[in-house]
Amino acid sequence: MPETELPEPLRRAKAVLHAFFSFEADVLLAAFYYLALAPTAWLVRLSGRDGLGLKDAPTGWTAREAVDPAEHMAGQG
Amino acid sequence: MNILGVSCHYHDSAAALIQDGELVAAAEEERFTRKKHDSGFPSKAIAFCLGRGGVKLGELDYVAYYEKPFLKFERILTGCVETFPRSGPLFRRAMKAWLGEKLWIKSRLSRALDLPAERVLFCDHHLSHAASAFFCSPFEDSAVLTMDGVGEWASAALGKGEASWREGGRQSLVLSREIRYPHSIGLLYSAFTAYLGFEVNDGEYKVMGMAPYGEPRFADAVRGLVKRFDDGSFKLRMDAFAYHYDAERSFTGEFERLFGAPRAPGARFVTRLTSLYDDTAAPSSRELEENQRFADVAASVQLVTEELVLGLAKEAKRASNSKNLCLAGGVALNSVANGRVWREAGFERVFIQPAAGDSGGALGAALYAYHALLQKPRRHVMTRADWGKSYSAGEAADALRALGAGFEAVEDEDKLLDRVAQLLKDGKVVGWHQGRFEWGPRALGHRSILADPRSEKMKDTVNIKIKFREPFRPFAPSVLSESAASYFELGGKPTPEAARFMLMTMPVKDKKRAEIPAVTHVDGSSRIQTVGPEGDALYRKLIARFQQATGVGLVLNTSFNLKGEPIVNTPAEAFATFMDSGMDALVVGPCLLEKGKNQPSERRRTWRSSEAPDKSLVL
Ligand SMILES: [Fe+2]
Repeated sequence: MPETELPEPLRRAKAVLHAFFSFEADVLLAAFYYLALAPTAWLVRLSGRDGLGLKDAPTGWTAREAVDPAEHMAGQG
Repeated sequence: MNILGVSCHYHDSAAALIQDGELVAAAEEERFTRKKHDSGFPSKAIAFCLGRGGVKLGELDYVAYYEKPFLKFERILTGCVETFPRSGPLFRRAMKAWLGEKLWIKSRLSRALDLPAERVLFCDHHLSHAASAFFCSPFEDSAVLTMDGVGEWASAALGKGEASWREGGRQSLVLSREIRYPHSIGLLYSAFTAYLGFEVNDGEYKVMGMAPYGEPRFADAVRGLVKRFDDGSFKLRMDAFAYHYDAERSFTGEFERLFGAPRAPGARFVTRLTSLYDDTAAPSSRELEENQRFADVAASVQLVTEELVLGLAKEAKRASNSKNLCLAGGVALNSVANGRVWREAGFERVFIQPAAGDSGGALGAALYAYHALLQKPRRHVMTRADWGKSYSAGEAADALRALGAGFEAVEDEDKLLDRVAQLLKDGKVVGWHQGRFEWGPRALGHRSILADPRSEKMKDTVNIKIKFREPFRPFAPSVLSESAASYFELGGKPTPEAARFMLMTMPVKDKKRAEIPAVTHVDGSSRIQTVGPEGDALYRKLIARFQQATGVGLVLNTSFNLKGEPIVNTPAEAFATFMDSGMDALVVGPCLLEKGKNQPSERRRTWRSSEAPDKSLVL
């Protein structure tokens, strides 16, 4: 049923539930961010990895590997 | 062989259908949903393309998606990890968008199109951009350069294409190098777009339009944000930018230290050279001074962008030694930079297809599958931009009648053209709705608002009274291809292919500037659309008729929409826009309407701001 056809109390209840679950999702994601990403970020920093290319380099270019079109188009990664 | 290309989930969702290598239909979703830059799953554009091609669900051979979602997700995660703990809000927003929808595009496409999963193909974002230009170009070999905000990891890529029209000939498109996120010309430009108070991924045109009002006195400061290498590549100084970790802001305090406080979204932009808005008082000297600073910042970022684009284009020339260049990606919509590439990078010919931004990726992915994967010969050269939906004369008349519109059906084409040319000559502003709507962000004579380019005051009239947009925005001309050289400085070269799609800015000849003031920008430039015999016959005849009446072989052409709205699609939308604006006449197919007979009950609109300047650029 479209949102506009719902009776007012149901519509309000739906909005409350929606807000609750999106709040829940926010809390879970924040917990995950600090619990899981913090050690990962620390390890990454220790390893000296430079995934965003922020360190000095002799060029801004990165070579691209040659691709076989069939292999290339089959995957999402 | 039917291949559908799809792009979505970033901005400007779109679909394109090719049948045996020929483009049949292509459209952006916003034209159907009326949501500007709609990024949702393009159900309506897909339905339109399949309908136009007579293809039923399940009958497609392949669907090709315009990027690699897993790689893009990896880039977002990497960015969040490497900028921890500043990336918290960006991470939460990214996870919701990606886990909720974006990661499941394969099953969504397979379900929506009733295709087995192995028929859903994926093409790298920049390869899609590259293919959209190269496999639509007239070239058998060409250098290819793509530049945008960001795709998966790349923000620019360089390579070479070889294509043959012969059965069994070699079809190859290889991008050999790329510049990687967060280093990006598009994101640099968008950060300044946000700083200048405009909506990112939309207001970039406004920055380009604002630039000629300024002097590039901040160019060295902008250059200081970019480390350039001799091979044309570059890296950005990321301490001035925040888009790689912040979901709301794209620049930092360091940026403000260099350029001053940012411009308030929605504030009016007035300098000594701009017109005033219709409803506001004369500016104070402080307001003029502040706005001059913003114009100078716009001029500076535009200049440095041109330098970066030229650097890449010259490297493309050096590496390929080709006479031809194909450009694609959102940065290739910067017509001023494109004009400089054409004049200065050493290529004889430059091709850009009209949907150079992400919508065009849909077309590119489909073409890459057809030519590079299936090794089928070339069939298609894009010489026109009208690949969208059309309405018959009967449909137009029915729609107008249903809305109570008073119109006259002028079936004789000659009479219709004479009437419209006369209206334009008399200084009337005319809505022009003909045939299929255009592919890409420019209106090119199918969903256009037309006016007399000779009138000094026409620019203000169309900006303020017709489109309710900022008075500093310039207008472009549609010019008969054979007349282009008499109005514009083409340097003795033939007009480039990209000018067909209004993608190149040229200087107006000194002695012609006073003749066509409405389409000459404050710096004497003009973003021209050439209309040649290979393009739209009716539009060409109209311009020729205007030339017979006035001696001027061009008309002012701007997109048929009001500020903040997508370009109109249907006759009903054209009529509603006509009634809501100060346009004098409307032509839908053979139906001619004049304002006198269709009085709006009240003027609902006036100039308004709809800016929401900063939003995440990188999800
Ligand atoms: Fe792109």
